[in-house]
Amino acid sequence: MKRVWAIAGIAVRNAVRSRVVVVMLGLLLLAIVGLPLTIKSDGTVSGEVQVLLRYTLGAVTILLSLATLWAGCAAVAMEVQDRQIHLVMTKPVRAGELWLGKWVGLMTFNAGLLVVAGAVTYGLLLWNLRGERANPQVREEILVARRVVRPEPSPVYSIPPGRAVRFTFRLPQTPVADRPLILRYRFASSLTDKNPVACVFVAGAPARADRWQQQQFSAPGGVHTLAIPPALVGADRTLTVDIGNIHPVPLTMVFDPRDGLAVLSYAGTFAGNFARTLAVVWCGLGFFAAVAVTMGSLFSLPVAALVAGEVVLLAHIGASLRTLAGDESWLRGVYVVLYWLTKPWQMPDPLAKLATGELVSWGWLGAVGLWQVLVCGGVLAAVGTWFFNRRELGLPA
Amino acid sequence: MIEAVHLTKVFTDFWRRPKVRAVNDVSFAVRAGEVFGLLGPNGSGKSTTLKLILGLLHPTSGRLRVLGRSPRDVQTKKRIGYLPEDTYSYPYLNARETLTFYGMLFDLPAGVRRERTAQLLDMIGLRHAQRRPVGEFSKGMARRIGLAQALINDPDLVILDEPTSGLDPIGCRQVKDLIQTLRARGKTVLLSSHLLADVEDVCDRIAILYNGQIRAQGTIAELLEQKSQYRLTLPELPAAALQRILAAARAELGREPVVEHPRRDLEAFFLDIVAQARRAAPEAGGVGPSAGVARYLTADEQLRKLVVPPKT
Repeated sequence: MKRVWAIAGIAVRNAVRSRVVVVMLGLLLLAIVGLPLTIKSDGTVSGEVQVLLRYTLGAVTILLSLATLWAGCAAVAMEVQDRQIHLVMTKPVRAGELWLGKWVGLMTFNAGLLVVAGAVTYGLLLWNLRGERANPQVREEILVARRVVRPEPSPVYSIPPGRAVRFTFRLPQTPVADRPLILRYRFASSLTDKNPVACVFVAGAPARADRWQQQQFSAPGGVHTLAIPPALVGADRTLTVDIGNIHPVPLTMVFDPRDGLAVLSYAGTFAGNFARTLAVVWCGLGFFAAVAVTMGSLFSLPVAALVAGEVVLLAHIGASLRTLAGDESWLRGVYVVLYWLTKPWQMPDPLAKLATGELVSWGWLGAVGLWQVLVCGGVLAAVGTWFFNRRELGLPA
Repeated sequence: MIEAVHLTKVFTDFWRRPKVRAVNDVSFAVRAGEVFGLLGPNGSGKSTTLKLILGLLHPTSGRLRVLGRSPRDVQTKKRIGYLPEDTYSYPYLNARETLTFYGMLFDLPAGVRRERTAQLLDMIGLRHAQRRPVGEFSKGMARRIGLAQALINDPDLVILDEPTSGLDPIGCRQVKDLIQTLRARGKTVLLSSHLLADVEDVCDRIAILYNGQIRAQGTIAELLEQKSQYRLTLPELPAAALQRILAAARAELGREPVVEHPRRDLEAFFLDIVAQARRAAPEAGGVGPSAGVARYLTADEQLRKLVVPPKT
């Protein structure tokens, strides 16, 4: 491991002394401070917080991803071009140690920058929520980590006029007593107007005498929330919710089976969620770094950067590929193949979860780390090492 | 130490079509403990041969063994020190960090690394510049760092590509002294150069390459000795005695013998002048005075380690 640390140390030292770190810090701080001033929120404190968390951290992620791709490709390709590799590979250094050293150096650099960017964003968030701006809505809906529980599959997701439909939510843990459960819902209406629709929500087991009931006027298309007392959850951790359509004008309420209904239960603090989200972002950067170092081991810098960019782009346009694969285009077959090839890398956006107060769980972080860093990184390392071992480093320029 | 049999290297283009036959059916052997020189004009295949020996290029055909193994074997590389034609160091590292880095690649313990780094910095006269980034060094100073990194592992086989290129006469002399010290310790040195005087000074055997092929190979004496002629060097003699000797030679040869005063060589004269100047102004800039060959590279140091029992 001494050789790996030595190579990683060189990468970090070069980044610091060539002022790459200073430039990157400058760009990141500019994005963190400048972006919230240029993007318009909905005018509420919640909106401002969501812009800061989603778009600012999103910009940080994009900047670090681009820097990682470039630096990763350059890490080996430039050393081959400038022939510093002649002095390294004539020492007892294995190709795998070189690959790992470059990756570790890059990820140390990323970790440092991500910690600074995260700390500044968090500081800015606290400053933004000083005094009365930290209202209960922000605290309960955004500055929290809530587990999202979808209803058990139901044969019906549409509610005709004057009818009610029952949905059952099976919670993985007993809810915290002093934290309300949040029912989040969104529906479409069979009418074209967007006037609020009268509906009624009844929560609790049907046999209970103390069932909770709330009448609501909710606009179709919007996301709405309702606080439900956690005591209504049964001993088997099941929550039953009946939704009734009581609108005076006949219309049908239609819930999207994928994200039309969910119960959010308290699962932890915002600080922990924030840290785990940054860790998921870091794992994503680990995958980018692995792609880039491998490409840099195989090709010259311009070719490596181009190929690595293409690979990362393909891996992250899964949603678009899915849409394209559904079209009746003569390229449909290509899109279908690309969609299935890139499917393993398609995952929910952790920043979207953080900005809506959804839990980024340890389990998810572990799965992302295992898949993106260990499995994908390991395969890329093996490919990069195998080809690098066969490469002639002393060829004339 | 090195055995090359019918070694051939053909460079190809992108479509694998032959482009240049840089090394063409070359066979030679470098024995343990000798200084072997590869001579040749630019483009003769010297550097390509060295890169094949170092595993940086793969032979197209032929057989190549270095220290009894494949040149690409990690165990082989542990015992090799390499100074490339240009010093390809990391410009943002300083001299000490550069040597420490290469020491770490050889997995040297921290104490040994520190000790050797200090000795090597003294040897190359750059202790005063050890905190300066290598990127700010002059070509000669960078060359010295390159030489030091080639010796950090106390190698059994030292491969030097144009070792005196970019060095001043003092540096050249130090390199030659170093090579002789290494030979005295039984180390093997393979050097490539087109500076014929340097090669003649230090090499036991040479091979002359031209257009990728060996044109001549052997010891310096075998290749350069003119057995049909003699040179007679005499101490200062009275004029009459000299005339008697010349008359005898004239009678024997049947023609006038060549008589001239021997000259000091320019290198020795230059080194003498610089040594005097340095005594007069010891704080001059640039490369400092060398403390001599690093202790760990000398036979004395090795003997001391054998004789002095380790502290308990």
